[in-house]
Amino acid sequence: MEKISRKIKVLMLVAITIGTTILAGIPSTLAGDSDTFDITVTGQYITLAVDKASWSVNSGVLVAMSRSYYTNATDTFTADSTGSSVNVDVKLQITTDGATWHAATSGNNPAADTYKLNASIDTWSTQVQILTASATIIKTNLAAGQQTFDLKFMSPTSTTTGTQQTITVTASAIAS
Amino acid sequence: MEKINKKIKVLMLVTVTVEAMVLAAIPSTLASDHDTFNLTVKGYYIGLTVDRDSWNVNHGVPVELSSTYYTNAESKTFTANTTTSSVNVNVKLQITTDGAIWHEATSGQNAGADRYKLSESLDLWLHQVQIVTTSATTIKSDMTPGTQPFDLKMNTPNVVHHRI
Repeated sequence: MEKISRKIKVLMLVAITIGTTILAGIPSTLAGDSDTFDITVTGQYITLAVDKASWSVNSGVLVAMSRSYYTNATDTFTADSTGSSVNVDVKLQITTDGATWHAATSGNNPAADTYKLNASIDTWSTQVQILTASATIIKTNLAAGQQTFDLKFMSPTSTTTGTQQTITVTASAIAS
Repeated sequence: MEKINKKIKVLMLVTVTVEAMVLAAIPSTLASDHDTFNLTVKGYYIGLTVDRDSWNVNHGVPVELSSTYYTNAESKTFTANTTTSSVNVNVKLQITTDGAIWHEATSGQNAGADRYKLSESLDLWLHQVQIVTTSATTIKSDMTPGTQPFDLKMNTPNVVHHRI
């Protein structure tokens, strides 16, 4: 019995030794290991800048009533989306209306204290109305680069103020 | 080994999830952009007010026929005010509603039967112009924004068939 026990002990020792030897041969991951991998990702990036900060209608000279004034005389705008990683739609919206003069709503013409603002990217072969209620697309699927556009300001038919009106237009670009 | 692979997969999933959460938290300007510009515009504006609503000729006392009455004599000089205008203006007067019985003399005419004549002056009658019904008479040209006093003169009819 004692011999048997000894043999068992020897066998266990041998087994443990063999086991240790095997374990030593196993790649070190069993004792702790690490590896790395990268996740690379690039987001859609859109940038838009307009080259002019303002347009002083009629070069700052008082405008007459019921008349149209165009930027293409001297003040054509350029929207620049250079650097964008995707094609974009460029939109314009009147985000701050005049203090007294207000923009005509969609499809309407100038009236008393009401002006109309249109935009064109082809020197008035085609044009769209710029509104306060929503943004109007002036160019779809613009590849990263520049797009010129003109504005036409149609003055009110009459006015109740001689005070200068300041109208803010927001140009925005979103992925096409 | 299988367990280790599973742990790695779990770690990858967690990492990707975290990345997605981080991307979702990035401001939307990366997905769109905008810029603004202003339009400034000022229109021709003409504002005109007259300081009096009425002239009660001869202070309301019945006028004599073939007589002349002046606003300046009654301390009723009018003032036209164009202060709020953004441009120079021509100021005009016109009789737009005539008397029920008495009618304004036409241009160049004098007062007559049931016919009065109304004139205007800016310089206490050194110069004067007739005010008529058919058209507006310019009393001041190229007036800069401001005030302009003017006086009226009424030549009463020489004969009346009705008393007004």
